Amino acid sequence: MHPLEHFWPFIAFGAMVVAAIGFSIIAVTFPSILGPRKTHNEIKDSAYECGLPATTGTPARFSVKFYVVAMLFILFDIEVVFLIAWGVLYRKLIKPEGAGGLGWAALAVAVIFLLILEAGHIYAWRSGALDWASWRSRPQQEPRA
Amino acid sequence: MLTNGHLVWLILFAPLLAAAAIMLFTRRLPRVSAGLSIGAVVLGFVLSLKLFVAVLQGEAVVAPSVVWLDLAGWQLVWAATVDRLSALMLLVVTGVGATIHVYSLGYMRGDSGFARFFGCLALFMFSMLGIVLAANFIQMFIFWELVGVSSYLLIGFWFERPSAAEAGKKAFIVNRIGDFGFLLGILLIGALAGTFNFAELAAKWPALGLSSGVLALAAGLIFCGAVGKSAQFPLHVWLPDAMEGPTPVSALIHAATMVAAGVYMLCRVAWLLAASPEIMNLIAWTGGLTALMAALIAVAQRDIKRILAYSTLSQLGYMVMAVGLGATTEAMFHLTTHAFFKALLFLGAGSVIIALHHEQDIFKMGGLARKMPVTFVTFLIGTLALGGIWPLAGFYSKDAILLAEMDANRPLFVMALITAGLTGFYMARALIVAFLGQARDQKVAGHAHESPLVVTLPLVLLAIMSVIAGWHEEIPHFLKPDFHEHPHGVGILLGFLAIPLAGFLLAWLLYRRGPADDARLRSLLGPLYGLLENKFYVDEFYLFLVNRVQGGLAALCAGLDLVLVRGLGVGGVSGLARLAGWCVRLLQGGSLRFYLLATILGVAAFLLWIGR
Amino acid sequence: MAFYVLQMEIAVVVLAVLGLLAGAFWPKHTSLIRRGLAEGALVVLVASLFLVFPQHHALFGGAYVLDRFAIVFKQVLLGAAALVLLLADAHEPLRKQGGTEFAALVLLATAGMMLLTSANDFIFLFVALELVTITFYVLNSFLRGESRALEAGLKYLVLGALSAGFMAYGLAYVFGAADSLNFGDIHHALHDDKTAQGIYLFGFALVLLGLGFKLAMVPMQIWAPDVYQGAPTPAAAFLASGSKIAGFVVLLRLVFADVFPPAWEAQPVVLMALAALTLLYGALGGLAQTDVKRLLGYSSIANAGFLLLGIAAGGDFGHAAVIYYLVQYLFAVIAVFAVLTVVANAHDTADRHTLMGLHRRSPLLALALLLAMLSLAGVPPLGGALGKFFVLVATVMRARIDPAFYALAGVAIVGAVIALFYYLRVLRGAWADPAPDAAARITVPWTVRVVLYICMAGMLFLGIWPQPLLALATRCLH
Repeated sequence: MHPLEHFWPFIAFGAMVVAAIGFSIIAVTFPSILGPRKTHNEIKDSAYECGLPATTGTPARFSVKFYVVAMLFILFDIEVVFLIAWGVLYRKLIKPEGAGGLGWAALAVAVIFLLILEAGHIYAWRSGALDWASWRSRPQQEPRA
Repeated sequence: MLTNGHLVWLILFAPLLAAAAIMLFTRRLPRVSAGLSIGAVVLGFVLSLKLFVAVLQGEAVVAPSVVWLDLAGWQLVWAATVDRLSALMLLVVTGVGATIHVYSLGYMRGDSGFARFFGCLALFMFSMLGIVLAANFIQMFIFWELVGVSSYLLIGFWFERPSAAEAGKKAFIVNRIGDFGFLLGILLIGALAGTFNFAELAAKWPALGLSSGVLALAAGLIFCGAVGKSAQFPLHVWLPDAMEGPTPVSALIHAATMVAAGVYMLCRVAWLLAASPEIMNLIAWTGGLTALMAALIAVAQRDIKRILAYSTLSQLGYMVMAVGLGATTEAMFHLTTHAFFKALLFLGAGSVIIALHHEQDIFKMGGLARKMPVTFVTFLIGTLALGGIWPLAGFYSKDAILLAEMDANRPLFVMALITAGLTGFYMARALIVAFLGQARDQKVAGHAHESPLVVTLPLVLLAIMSVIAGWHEEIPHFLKPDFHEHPHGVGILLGFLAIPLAGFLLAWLLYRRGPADDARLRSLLGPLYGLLENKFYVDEFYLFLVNRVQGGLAALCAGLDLVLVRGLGVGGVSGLARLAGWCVRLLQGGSLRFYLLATILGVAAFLLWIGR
Repeated sequence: MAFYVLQMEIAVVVLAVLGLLAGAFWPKHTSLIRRGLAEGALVVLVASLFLVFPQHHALFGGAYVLDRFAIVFKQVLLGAAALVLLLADAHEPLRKQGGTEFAALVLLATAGMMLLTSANDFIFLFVALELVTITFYVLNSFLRGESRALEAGLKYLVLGALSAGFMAYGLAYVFGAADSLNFGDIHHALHDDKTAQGIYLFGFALVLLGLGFKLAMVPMQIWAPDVYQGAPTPAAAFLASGSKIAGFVVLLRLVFADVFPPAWEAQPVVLMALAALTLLYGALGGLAQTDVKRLLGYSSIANAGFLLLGIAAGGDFGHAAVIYYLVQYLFAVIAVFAVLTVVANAHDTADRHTLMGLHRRSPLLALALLLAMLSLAGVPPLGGALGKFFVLVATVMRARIDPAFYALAGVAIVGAVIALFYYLRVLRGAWADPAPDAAARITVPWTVRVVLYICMAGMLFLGIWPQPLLALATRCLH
């Protein structure tokens, strides 16, 4: 047995740390040595150089509709996750009752679940949560109550 | 199928339903309200009659009972006692009640509180019937307090008059003193015997083997309740003041039924009293003293209702005396006849009072006999019945008590005889001064005329009952089938008859010429008259007691309170509570961050503590 | 699968969903729909009285049980929900906001509570509890325009999430110790294993704390006054009645199913301490309050103390006393909130001035307030008096075996006396103080009238004839 065998993982880890630090030093220093100078302006100096400011002051505003849509997305997303558990066991569940399954009830459970989900969807739709602009601002349609 | 047992509950709850309906719905409809109330009590009377017949025929009436409370095996049952005693009492209460309800139609006509009056009367009927039917002490106590409440409401019915409001308060407070003892007695008995049920207690109580001191304490405390409700000395002071209430109320509550409830209760718990000879003796003497004292006071009163009120006190004294001597059957007999003729007298007085536009001083009346013949004749019958003249009801019942006393207790017997003579005198005095001769005050008594039929009909009915209720001694025989009157000769009966007659004669001699005031009696009695006129100064004595002694004690207590209790005790405790409350408030400042911190610290402390 | 076992819950959920959709489709008729939901809840309640339920039925592998205890409390909770829905329809700020969401959410919370009464498994319990709690996050902050309501909702949210976290954490320990989360298995699993019992004790304590949030039990009580004060009055009414009842039903179920740690059953010193602290906190905190809704928050804590006392005392009679107490408390507390629903000012708060001279402005409201406050204070002949009396009897019965309970009975009496003081102070304002000059007579909507009559009748009936309910409670235990 090699005398250092117990330490191999530590050696490997140490090597990785050294490599990581070395690479970051190279990545930071080499461009300033090799690259062209004097391209300094505001956009060029920002973190992502994509035109959007990376940090802004607190008064920045988003439309509340972002939140509503995001919330609805998460809600329905999570609800669908519940179906995965059901889907995984589907073949077992659909067996007739005598054979350890639930028979048609297995399907009924999922349908009821989806119906409730759909009720929520219709509710969200009817209460206008999915409309980006209000009914009033649409020129082609008369406002409804 | 409704059995007689179900009818018992119908009798009890019909007035309650009427009262509830009046209070909730028909307050603005006087006629409907009166109809409801009268309907309930008349229904009760008819059903009581049916029940009475059933009991008479020996049927065992068992009212369905329900468990009111079951505390881990310790049961309190809501039940009704239907026996000969309660069947008779039911009949008296609903019968007299029905006539007085009808009478009230006339007496209260045009009063702004007409509907309220009938609502309160119905509430009273419910409470009173509850006492009659009670099967255990708790039930009886609840209804005992309820009659107190309804009596308070009715005495103070004309609450705009300060004297009426005061009288209502006085009656309630004085009764509370008696009831406090009553409640202590009930709790004592319950704790000793483990049950409140009358039937179980009657069997169990003598077998408990309690010492005579405890037996006397229990009986004495229970008697306190009767002293308050039946207005026995020294708690008699509320009854005369209660006359501030409308006259039908005085007749129903403060003459015929509620004040008799004390006597009824004592008869119901005769087993309890019988276990303690000392208390029996105390009861007899209390009754005798009240009877004599009240009769003496009645001699010098001028207000017709007050004369009757003291007469009621005196007759209640008779009944209590009889209970104290073990003669419960005789006491109930007298209670029944007294209910009839005393209600009659009060209603007669009420008839006079309406005719005279609420004048109550007999020395302003006179010569009413010709103007109000029906009232006069019925009042005369009532007077003779109360005086104990053969063959009216009072003769039989009073003589039954006198005969029972004759051998049992001679000094009391003599007191009772004197009382009988005084009774004859003061009733004859009231009758002669008010009805005979000429009108003394033309303005008051000159234009009197007979009351309408709705008033006189109840008078006639009650007068008939006052005549026949004693005949053949049916009532004591009903109560106790093997009832035997104490053996006596005709001579003794004649003697009993002679004594009230002497009283009548004396009154005739003094008042026949229609004196304008009471000067002759005043000169005859000398300083005694002043003493009687002022009711032996008992009220003044109580006032003194309350003002000086209680006032002094109160001042002392206030001083102590200031220094000790408020400074150290309450001040300390309430200060501590306030301080703690303040700390809690500080904790609840409203900052969410702090709430989180507090919760987490609390949870940490809790977990550390349980994990220790 | 026997879904008919779930028929009451299904009916309530269907009602809620239909109400939500109907409100979205016919926004002009929301008032009608709201009332329809209240009446629908009542119909379900009445129908359930005539239904024959399968006795002792279990569903979902024993996670859901249906016994008499569960059925009775499902009906009680449904009744509470119907009363609250009637109140919500009369509540001015909620009417102004419109919509059927409030009513639908109340029904969903009710469904959660009804599931809780049948919970026989910790996971099932947790899910049902979260259904209730999450719904209440919305209900409490329903009046978006009122900063106080938002504050109440936020406080309930943050502290509720904290307590849910405690509970989930505790459940992990419970599962680790007992290898099961079903109430039926836990008792056997812990048999004779001292290590497992220690771990279980820790886990169960955390679960109890999580549940304590619903009960307003020390140390999870701190939200109650703020939330009661800020939440819309009908929401606070449901929080005080339905939510609290459901919490105690779960606690009773834990006792019946023998899942209390063995050490606590012999020596209920933990429960005793919690009961005493909760009682005193509620009693003392209320002393300095002038806002009536806030005061009711403290009252709710104090009453939770009394109920915990009954559970600590235990025994058949103690448990029957708790059941009796819960039902009578429902009537009293809903009556008070019903009065506040009408008299509370535009901002839906009720300081001392809002009640001044109430007896002149509306005799019915003043009478209802009188009965309810006296019932809460424990004055006979109202239900509250007997509720307190029964709990104290159970305590004294237990004290014969365990004298420490005498001290607890003393604490309870002191707490009741202190609380009496603040209840009577509210009444003094309503009955003795003159009405402000500008105050007009109050007209009481018929929905509130119905609620008040029901509550007053309930308080009086329970105070005058307790035996029917007490007998039913005793039958529930077996």
